[in-house]
Amino acid sequence: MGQCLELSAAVCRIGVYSCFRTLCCKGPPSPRTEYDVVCVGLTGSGKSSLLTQLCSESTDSIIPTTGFRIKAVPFQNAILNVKELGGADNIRKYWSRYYQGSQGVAFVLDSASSEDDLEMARNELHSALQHPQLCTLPFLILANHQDKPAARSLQEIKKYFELEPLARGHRWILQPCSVENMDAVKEGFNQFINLLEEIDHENTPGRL
Amino acid sequence: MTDSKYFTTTKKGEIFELKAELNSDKKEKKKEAVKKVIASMTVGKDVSALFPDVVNCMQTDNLELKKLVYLYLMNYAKSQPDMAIMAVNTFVKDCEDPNPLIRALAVRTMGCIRVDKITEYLCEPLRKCLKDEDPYVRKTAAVCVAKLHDINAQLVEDQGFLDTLKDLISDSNPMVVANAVAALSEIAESHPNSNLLDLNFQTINKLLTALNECTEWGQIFILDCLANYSPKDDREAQSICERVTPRLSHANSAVVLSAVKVLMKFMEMLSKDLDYYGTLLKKLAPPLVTLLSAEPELQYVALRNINLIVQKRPEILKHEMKVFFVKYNDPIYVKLEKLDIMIRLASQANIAQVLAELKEYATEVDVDFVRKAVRAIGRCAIKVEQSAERCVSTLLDLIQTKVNYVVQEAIVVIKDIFRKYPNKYESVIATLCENLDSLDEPEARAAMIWIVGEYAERIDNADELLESFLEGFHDESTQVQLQLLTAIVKLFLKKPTETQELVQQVLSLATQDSDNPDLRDRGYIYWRLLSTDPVAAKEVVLAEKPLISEETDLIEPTLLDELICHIGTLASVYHKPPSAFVEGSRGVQHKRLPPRSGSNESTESPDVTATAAPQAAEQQPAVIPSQGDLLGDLLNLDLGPSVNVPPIPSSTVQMGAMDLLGGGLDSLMGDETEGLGGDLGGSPAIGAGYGTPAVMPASLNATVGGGLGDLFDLAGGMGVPSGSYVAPKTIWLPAAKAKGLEISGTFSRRMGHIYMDLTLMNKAMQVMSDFAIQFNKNSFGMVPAAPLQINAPLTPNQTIEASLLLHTVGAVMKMDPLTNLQVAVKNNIDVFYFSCLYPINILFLEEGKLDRQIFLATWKDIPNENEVQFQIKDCHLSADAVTDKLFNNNIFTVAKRNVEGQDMLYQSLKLSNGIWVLAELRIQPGNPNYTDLELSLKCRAAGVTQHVFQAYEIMLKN
Repeated sequence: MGQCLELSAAVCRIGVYSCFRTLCCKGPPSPRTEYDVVCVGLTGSGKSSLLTQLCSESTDSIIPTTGFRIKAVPFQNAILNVKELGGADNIRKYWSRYYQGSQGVAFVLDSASSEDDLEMARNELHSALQHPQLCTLPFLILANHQDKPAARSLQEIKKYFELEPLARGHRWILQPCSVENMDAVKEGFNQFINLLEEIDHENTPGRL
Repeated sequence: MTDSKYFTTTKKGEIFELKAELNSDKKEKKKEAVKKVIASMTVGKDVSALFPDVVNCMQTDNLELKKLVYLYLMNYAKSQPDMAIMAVNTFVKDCEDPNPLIRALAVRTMGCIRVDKITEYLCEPLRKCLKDEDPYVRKTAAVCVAKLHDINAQLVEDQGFLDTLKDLISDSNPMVVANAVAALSEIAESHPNSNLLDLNFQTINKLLTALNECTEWGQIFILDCLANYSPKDDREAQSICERVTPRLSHANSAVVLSAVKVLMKFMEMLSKDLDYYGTLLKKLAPPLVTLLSAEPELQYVALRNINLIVQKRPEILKHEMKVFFVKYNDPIYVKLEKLDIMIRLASQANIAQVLAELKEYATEVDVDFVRKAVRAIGRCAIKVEQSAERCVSTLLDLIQTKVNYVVQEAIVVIKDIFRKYPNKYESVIATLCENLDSLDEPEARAAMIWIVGEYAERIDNADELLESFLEGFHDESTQVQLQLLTAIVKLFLKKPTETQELVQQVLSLATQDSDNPDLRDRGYIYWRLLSTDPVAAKEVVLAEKPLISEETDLIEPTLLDELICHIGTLASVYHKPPSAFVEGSRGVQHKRLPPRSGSNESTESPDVTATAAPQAAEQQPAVIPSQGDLLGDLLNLDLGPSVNVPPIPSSTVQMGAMDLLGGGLDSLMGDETEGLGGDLGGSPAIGAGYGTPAVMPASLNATVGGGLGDLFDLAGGMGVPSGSYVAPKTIWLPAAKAKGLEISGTFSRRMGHIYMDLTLMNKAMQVMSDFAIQFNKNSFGMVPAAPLQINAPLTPNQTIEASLLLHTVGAVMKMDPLTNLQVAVKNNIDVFYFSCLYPINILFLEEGKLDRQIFLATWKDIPNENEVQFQIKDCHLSADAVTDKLFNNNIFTVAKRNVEGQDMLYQSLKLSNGIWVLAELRIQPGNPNYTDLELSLKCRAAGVTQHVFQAYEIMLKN
């Protein structure tokens, strides 16, 4: 008799719990969308630092990335799986081999660098954006180190990098930022995520 | 439609599919793809093209996937050294992973990636792992240091890893200690002078503590390291021994052998009076015996080691004879090894037992084993004097069995017994003679002939017996022929009257009808001895023989000591020092010490010490030391005014001998110039005759010397095959640059002509034909003398050798470097260009020898600014060898002078364009500290001297 009671009590509990779940939460929370993004830029432009700070980790022991690093960066609406490629000379030549599968490109540049470096950065950006695997993707350009005295203005950079003609047919964002001003970085990334989502929605019906 | 359609295919192939799968977003699919890649890799397909895609999968939380990617990296990082850098960051990250397994995995993989370009990036992670909190990571990192050291020793030293490694010896975890010791030992081995493992009392103590706790492999590392330590005094040695002894009862035989090695080494330091020494001896025996109960292969290894131990310290196993008795089901290699140890352990105390066993073995079925058993009986007789009689009677019993190979083997050992105990067992000769006809092996026949010759005076029909052998003289092996020659000469000296005919016969057989230089020379020596001074001949031939040593096959003590230090390694199984087989090519001779008596090189035969021979054969410069002096020095004879000593001394000639032999000798030795020298000089096998004079009695020197003088002179003229140095072929035109045509080649000078020797290889898929070759203008006007002759078309994968005759009449244009030659090769496909360097010595003319006076005048004439000096390092050649080598390359020695112990060579050479180059070469012979040659070159055209110097260097070093 006692057993019978226990059993019916258990059945009741299961029933009540499922009712509660359907009412309140509609099942387990749906996961945030994930996007694969490739992040490039010359050595010293601050890719690792920015990404590390975005994850709220300590930036004390950052050394130049030799090779690549995949980091999941959480934002409010989405998670970006950022594949950061090292910017040294001997690594740049392999960049193109790691583009495959990306849904967006983040390019970090040092606004305060020398003319030579800026020239090199421009070339790299151009060849990246013309790569068949990247040429249709949205991109985010972070003009880093804006806090330094020698930093160039956004207009200067836009002109120097010939962004207007280059970006024809692209969706792109140019965002000034610095390590100190993480809000700007987050702002840039949020806009970027919006872009990604837009494209996602456009493509989804087509995919189906 | 053209055939190009075959090359365009719609199929993308396996690699393409794998590439797509590797880049898939689904983790499961990725893992599957990596597994497929690894599978292809293990069956030998080349999947290196997928390197970036696989590396792309590296940063994952999935341990299984990570391991697979690491496996791939170890295999292909070497083939993609530049791209390996993409993996660096992942290693750095993984070395900081919270999971120690991943940290260790990363550091282990890092060590296995032998790519120089990324090593420096891996130092920081390695340093962290060396100080990791987890012992598993530390021990893995320790081994990684050794691997890194192998790739880049300097880096490891600069980074201070060696000190960290030394600190790890004091680690709290025994496995870490063992691995640190293993790593340090390995590094120390490759850098013998580094003084890395400066062990002291404290470190030894730590090692000994760790020894008890670590795994068996760790124990082996530690024991091997202990064996390299030398304790301060016997007390320390004893305390180490005490702590190592428990390892003797370990189940792993490698641990046991390593422990035995340590004990054997440290026992050297213990005094034999010490109680502990005796205890240790007793403790060593049981583990060694236990090793013999393992499977046969292990037994063999154990037996090879025991063989060394028994030679070093027979007392350890002297009471354990019984365990070495052969079991019927032992494999043959174990049987033979056991037999060997039985003989070494045989002593008066156990000889009866041993003999009974050996007699038993001699009736088994395995022929090799039976032979060795019979031989063992003989060795027992020689070793244990008291047992000799019993051994001889055992051997006689065995001979009575009439089993052919037993009889033969018995006769060989009885000969040794005769040598050891002369005039004691001759009574058995009669029995031996009965079996004369059944002997068919050379060694047994030779032994029997030796016995007959040695005891000719006691064997009535010795001459008949020997004569019967003589009939088939030319069919016998050399060993038998030599023995027969000696035996008949002995017989003649003992019974001169009846055997003249026989001795004459054998001498003529040996000297005139034989092609074997050893035999012929021995024949000549006897002939000359007998004809010149039979009394001396008797003294020489019938001289008292030294007693043979007890054990002829003991390992030489220094080698034995070295091998004891290598117990438990391959060296102890081979019985060779590691240097003999690890690096490969060094000459290996051990174990067999002085030749055993009575076999073909017995003591009465001419002892061929040919040390002087190579020098004698060399080209003599026609200058300062007169020929006589040179020969005198070479042969250590005082020839003096040798020439007029009468060729045939007439005193004390035994009756008859002279008449018989005189005539032959007359024509043989004749009048100095023709005679021997001419005769021998013309024969093809001239090289073997040089050493003989060493054993001649002094009274003969004069005559023989004269003849030999001629002989050497002749030899000098023709002994060394002339030919200039030719460099090995190198690839001039790689296939990749010439649409599949690969050309390699070299230059040579033969018979006064220059040749370009080419190898053409078709690595393309189509037939090649219509070859032609052309040179650009060059410094010495070299042009092909005839068109390139390649008649048949070259089919795919075919190789053709071609020699192109060149002459030097073409247009001249100075090239930089001087010996650069630009070549164009045409075939039906295209024209290809390449350039190569020719060695300048192909231009040295045959008529490059200057007269001494002209040389002097020219030398003075050339301004001093044109003199250039060079050093040729590490050249160990004598002046004569140098002269000779250079002569073959058309560099001629004009004069030679000896100044204060230094040899000065003055040399000349002429280039094809008529330029003379004069050289002064300073050699310091006999000074081992100073092996550099100094070369001064003088030439009017200063540009060529550098190239001439290089030519010198190449010739002298090859």
